[in-house]
Amino acid sequence: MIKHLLGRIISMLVTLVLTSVVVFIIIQLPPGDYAERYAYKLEEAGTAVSAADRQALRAYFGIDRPLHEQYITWFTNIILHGDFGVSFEYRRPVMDVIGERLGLTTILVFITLILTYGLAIPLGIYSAIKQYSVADYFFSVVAYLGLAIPNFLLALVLLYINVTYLGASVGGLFSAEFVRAPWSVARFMDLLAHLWVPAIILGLAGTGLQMRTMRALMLDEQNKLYVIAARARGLSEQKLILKYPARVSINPIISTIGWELSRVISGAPFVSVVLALPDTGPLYLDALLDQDMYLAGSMLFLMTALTLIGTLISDLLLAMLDPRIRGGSRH
Amino acid sequence: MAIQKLANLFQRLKGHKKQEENTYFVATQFQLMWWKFRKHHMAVIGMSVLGILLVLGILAEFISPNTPFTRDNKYIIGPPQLLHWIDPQGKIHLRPFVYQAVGTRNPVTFRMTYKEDREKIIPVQFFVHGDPYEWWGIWKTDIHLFGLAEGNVHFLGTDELGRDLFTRIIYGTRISLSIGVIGVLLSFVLGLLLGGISGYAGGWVDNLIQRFTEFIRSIPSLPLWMALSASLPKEWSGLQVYLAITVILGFLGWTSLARRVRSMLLSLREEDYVMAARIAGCSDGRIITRHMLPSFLSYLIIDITVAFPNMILAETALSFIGLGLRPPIVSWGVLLQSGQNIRAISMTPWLLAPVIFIVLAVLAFSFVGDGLRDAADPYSR
Amino acid sequence: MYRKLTPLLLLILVLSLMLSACQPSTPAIPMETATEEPVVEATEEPVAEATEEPAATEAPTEMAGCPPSTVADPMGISGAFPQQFELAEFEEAAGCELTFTDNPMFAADVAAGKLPPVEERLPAEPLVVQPYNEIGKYGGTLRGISLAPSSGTTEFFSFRMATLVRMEDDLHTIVPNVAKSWDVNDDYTEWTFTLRKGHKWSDGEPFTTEDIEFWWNDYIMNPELNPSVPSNWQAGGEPAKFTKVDDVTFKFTFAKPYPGLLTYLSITPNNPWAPKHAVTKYHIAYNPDANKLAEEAGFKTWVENFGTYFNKWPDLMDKPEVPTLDSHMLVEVPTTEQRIRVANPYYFKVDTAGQQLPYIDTHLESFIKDKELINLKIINGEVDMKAQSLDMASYPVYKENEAQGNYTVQLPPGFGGMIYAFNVTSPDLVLRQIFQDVRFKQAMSLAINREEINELLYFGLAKPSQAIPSPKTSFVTEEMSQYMAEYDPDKANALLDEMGLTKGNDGFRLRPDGKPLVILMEYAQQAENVKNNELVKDYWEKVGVKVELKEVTTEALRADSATNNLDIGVWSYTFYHEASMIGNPRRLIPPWGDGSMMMAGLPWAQWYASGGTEGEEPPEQIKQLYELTEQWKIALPGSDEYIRLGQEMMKINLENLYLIGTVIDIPGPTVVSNALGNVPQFTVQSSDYSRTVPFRVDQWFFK
Repeated sequence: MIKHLLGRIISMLVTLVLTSVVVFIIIQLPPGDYAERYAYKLEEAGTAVSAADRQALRAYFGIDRPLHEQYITWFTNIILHGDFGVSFEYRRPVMDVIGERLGLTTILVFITLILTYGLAIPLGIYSAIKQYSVADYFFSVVAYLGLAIPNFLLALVLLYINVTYLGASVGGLFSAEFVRAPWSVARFMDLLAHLWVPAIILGLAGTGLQMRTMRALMLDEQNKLYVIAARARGLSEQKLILKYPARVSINPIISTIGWELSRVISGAPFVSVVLALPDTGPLYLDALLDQDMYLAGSMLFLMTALTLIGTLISDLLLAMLDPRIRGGSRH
Repeated sequence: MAIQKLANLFQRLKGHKKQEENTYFVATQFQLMWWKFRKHHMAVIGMSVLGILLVLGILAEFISPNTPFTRDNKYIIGPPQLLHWIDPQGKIHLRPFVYQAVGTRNPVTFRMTYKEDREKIIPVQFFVHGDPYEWWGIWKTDIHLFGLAEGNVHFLGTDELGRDLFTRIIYGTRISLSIGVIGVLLSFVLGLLLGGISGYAGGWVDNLIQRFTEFIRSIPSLPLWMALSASLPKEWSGLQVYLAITVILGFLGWTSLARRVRSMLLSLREEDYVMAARIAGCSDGRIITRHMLPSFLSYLIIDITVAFPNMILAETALSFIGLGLRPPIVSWGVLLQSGQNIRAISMTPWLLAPVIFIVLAVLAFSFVGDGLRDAADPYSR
Repeated sequence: MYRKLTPLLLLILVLSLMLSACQPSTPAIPMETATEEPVVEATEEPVAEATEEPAATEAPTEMAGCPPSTVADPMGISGAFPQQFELAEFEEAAGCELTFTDNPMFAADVAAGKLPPVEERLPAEPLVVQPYNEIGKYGGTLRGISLAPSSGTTEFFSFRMATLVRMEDDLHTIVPNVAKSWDVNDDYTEWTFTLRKGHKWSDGEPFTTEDIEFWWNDYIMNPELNPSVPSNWQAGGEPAKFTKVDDVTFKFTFAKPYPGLLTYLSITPNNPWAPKHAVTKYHIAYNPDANKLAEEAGFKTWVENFGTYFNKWPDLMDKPEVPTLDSHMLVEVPTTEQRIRVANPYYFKVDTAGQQLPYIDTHLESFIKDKELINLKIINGEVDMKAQSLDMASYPVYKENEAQGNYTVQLPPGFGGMIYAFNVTSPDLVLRQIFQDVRFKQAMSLAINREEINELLYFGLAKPSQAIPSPKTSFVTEEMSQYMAEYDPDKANALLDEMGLTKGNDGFRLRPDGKPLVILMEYAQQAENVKNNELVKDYWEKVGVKVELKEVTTEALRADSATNNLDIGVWSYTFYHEASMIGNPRRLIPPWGDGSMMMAGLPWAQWYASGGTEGEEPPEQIKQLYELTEQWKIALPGSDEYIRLGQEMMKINLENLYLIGTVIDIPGPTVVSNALGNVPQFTVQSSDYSRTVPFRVDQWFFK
């Protein structure tokens, strides 16, 4: 077991290094660089930027050196000092910038996950037991609607309703005056008033998919022989369902739950842009679009790391929950 | 109320059930699947919806009253026109008609408003001559399914340039659906192949493919998409670029399917009936296709039907950040993008009509997927 | 089939109704109570404090007896420049002595001895400002929106910007601002400026010509910070010479006449000074350990680190410890969501009642990327002033929600429309030959239905026109605007036929070499109106010229433009106003654009820039154009010579139709809260005039 774990960790590290290289190259692939983007913004603002100015900007941002040199400096600094570099856009250390938004992102992801799985698992089980009932169809339609309506559009419509009919302040998680205020009852209420829109949208989107998976897996399991045998033994239906097929069906969901970990870094890029959520989503999207190299690179690096760690955690969880896997057969 | 009605409808549909019982034991596997599929009523509805969308996509030129670029100068950003059968005098017309629309611009807000001129009745006709077109480049004509003898009818309204939204959505159907199909098929074939090899061969082959899969998996798709869309040849039209990216994403999107296929094969390999087949001297190919594949078909179908809507939604999402299809190409995502603003939501909600089609398509795919899964499940009765 | 579809549709409808109807209702109540309160608190707090010193705010008008002269009611007082006076000038004209008072928010600090009293904070020679409508009162928070810390910030920056000299709202009078006065010799080679005695930085340190000398010697002339001297500080290819005369007087001497300097200084956000005392620590010339400081801050070299304290690009600086001359100053490090600035206690202006400006306590800048979210914030009244990046298409939404958002929308003229430039130096020689044929460009211009573009995209509020700068430009005539701008597809077809571009089987024209004539029109989404391009494609295809429309990223477009790889340059007519042309008439000479977007003719521009060693030799009329430009640059703006040269430059451009225009004078919706006082009618909406600088935000106040 320990040997297996060690092997996993080593292969994880190799993957991590490899992806960090690939990611660094990918960010560079589109034409232009941050200096170009910045020059463009300045010109949009009416400031003339000459070719020499561009070169100066490049030197100023430290991107006039060859790519491999930039990569090696960046990567060794991460390994040796835990220093992820400085964001061009914010002119502050990357970890500062991400850190500022990490707390709220975690809260959002947590709420979303609770909503998603809290709804998806019971509804999926229920739908499977009552296959082809009106309730089955009803829940399926609702869940699939969440999947089907483009998030960013739904977000905009809900915001519009929120503004026009409820007169609430728009976007973000706080009204402008509360953004920097210390925690208070009023600030908390303000947070609640803003939170419901993203919670619904982010929660709804995942629910459809998970519920569908749960339903399918339940249907697979519930007619298997061991279930019929259990039923023959006279177990109560409720106990039977929860103890046998539900427990087995939950495995694949657990095997992917670890991937959700990386959402703490990626946030929900599209929805968050529309809603101006102060989570890491817009940060991630803008960093990519603007080629804010170290910020984008570091976020991608962290996401990869968290995905790998998440998978590992998932596998360990699975081993804990499922005696068959615990037994040491191949995953 | 609506739910009650729906339940009634399902009751009626259940009528088919009887004769199945007699032929059950001599039916082929696909017959069995079809019978089971029919039990899932939403899936059947979904299948019909997909069928309709398919026909719309194929016959787009004929069914739509205009071409997607025809501009109707007299009906700019006009609301959907309603069909009427009864005129102001209370006379019933056999042929549905629309009223002539008269537009005025609000002098203060500059918003266009249209009023129906109840005096001017224009009947809607079938098989009318309209904009000339070439159907799939083979058949040149100007006959459209419906339209007006003179002028244009806009059932879903028009956009800022006076282009018929109904027409544009139907043309968009063709592009959005076909792009989904290409991407999904590609990743499906690849996933099946690589997963199959990995799972069946095992050993170092398995190990190699697994590491490769993990590596591909760990590359986030968003930056990849950005990089690719920027580095394709510039002579390529927007559609070609998008197709290329779909193909590339298809090439990258097989990982989860491959993993699933592999783990299924791994566990099935040890099953008694596979062992039996092997002892009986079946070839590897036959064991995989005839014995193992049917038993995990349901999972593959779920993957595929989830992937379709994902492709469609990905297209809309990428159009949203300006990386997907772009005008003048007409796709659902492109159309939706022009409705993705406060102006459309508050003043011209018909610009959001593409969302109905997107939702329909995604729902249909999802339910068909559910139905197929239920049908393919070897344990259910 | 349809029968089966109906219930599904019904279900979807019912569900979506339920979704939208039930969920929002519960959290509605806390939302309403939560939003408004704190704003009220913020505005009232200073007023409450003012009770400690009740005499302060009321006193000046009555005690000193100076008339509260405003632009609306000057009370018979006028000076050398409109809307403002020097202190002595005002006191003499009004026959009174001005007593100074200040914002009550400073009272506590003054009482505690942390701040000197207002008389000591103001310069010995403060600028006396005539408010537009009334003497304002202190307080409030001005809320604005920028896209990101370094994007779309110019508008918010213009709210507080203090320039050396300032452009008046008539858009041609230049008035003193940070500089008390200026002088120039007869041939415009030597400019002398005088600062205000006793002017102080926002940290209380004196602001003198030392700060200007430092900016020139150690910033502009430092090759690491500025590899080349900015073109605006050169004349005849040579950088200016700086001379410090005394503490308040300095001189710039140029090798060639530079009459445009004053105009440039009145509209640029890049002011010629730097707070020497605060930033030398990070400069290698003053601190040998500057590189070490940089490393501690996470940067590689002192250049990067210095840039965060002082930079030519103002929005790269976010350090509260660096003082400013602007009306508002940073007091804490910004977050990724907001930047907050508070009134500068050392600001150099007072109103005619002796109250120190600015009136508004706080500037709150929020960063929001999504355009629709900005629109929602506007109609919800969450923004006090916004114009940058608002487009005409959303005007009906702004207008209809005026009451709900408690604001007024103005429509000042602002922008030039889309322009199209066929690449007359295309690497494809057949295309080049076609594009250089003036008949082709005439045909393309005549094929465009400009009236329709105006109606469809701008509600008929813009003006159909050929590609010309703002009609307010001194050398632009109505005739120029109408040159080849009528809609005449028949004539266009005739011209194309005459050229021998025959039509193929598909109805599209063929090139002389028999290949189909296809124009690849690449455009960037940021370059404005996608719909405009779709319309132009439609018009041109109607006369048989096939257009392949392709949206690419701005970077890809620039890359193609910088390598002379475009068939046609597509952009909006930026640098549209006369002030932005002085010293650099980008839109009138090859490549008809700027460093980032060369529209066409790049090899010609390279030939000229390299003195004939690179690129390709341009035709005679282009050489003539360059020559005219050089003469025009040294002519005094507005003089007969200047106008004559300008008109000749325009003539060459129009006759060859290097640029094909669509509409001009597109209004820029400008949203201003009704709670704000002293906001004038905007006469322009453009970054060419530094946005709101001509409209004096420092004397806006909350009623």
